[in-house]
Amino acid sequence: MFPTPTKLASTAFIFLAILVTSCTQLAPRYDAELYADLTEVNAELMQFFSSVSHGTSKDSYKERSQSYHSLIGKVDALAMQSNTRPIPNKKTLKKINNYLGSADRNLIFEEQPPSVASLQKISSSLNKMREEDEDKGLRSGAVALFKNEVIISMDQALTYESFLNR
Amino acid sequence: MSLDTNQLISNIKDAASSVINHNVAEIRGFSERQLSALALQAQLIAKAIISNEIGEDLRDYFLDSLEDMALNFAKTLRGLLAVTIEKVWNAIIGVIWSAIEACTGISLKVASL
Repeated sequence: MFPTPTKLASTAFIFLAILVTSCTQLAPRYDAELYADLTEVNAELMQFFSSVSHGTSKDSYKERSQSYHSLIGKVDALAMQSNTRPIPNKKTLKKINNYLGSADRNLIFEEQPPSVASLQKISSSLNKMREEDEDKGLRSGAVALFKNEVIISMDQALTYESFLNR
Repeated sequence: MSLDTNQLISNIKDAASSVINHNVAEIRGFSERQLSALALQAQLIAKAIISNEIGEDLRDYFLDSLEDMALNFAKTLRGLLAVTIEKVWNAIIGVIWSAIEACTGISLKVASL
């Protein structure tokens, strides 16, 4: 189905608006320090999972308590750092979203970088793991599940942050 | 000097295709990794339930969590798409401005990202 003249005019208006601003930026700037910190905390996470891969006992939780809090704190700080970067062309993004919304498209671009949600997920996974470890201890199967959760979310955060290096 | 529109269209196509081809390859690799990891998670959950390695509470947590991670995967794809659109757009603008500069002799000074 061909777009209506109104839709074509709206699209042309958005493109014209972007053209006027020449080079545009729809996503945050690349932060080399954030990316380096992400890879560093990722290595620490994998080291931690390796140390508990055979499962844990709640009796020895105190030995791991500091590691949990340190890792959760670092991941939370990285989520904050990722979220505080400004998007230079917020107005352009808003115009595109207004068009997509008015045209009943299901795709709306968010201002918040997706790596924030992924890092928040890692934090909540570690929190849940810490609670379970403290209350009951963890069997190796549960550790493997928490580890894979962290791998999935960290892959999302690392891929997006690396993609911003354009 | 007049602007050769056929050449300009060809240059725009090349610039856009180059960005798209490169980015699509990266996005495809990411998607394949994510889908494999999500499938592995489903397999690990099933295995842990069968072998009683996790109780009801953890089972519900991991099942809800799987949905959250799938949603974050979709959000990340959307983020990668936004960056791709931005790169395609800037590549096209760069070609158009260069053509106008060459034609008019006026420097338009395209800001670099």
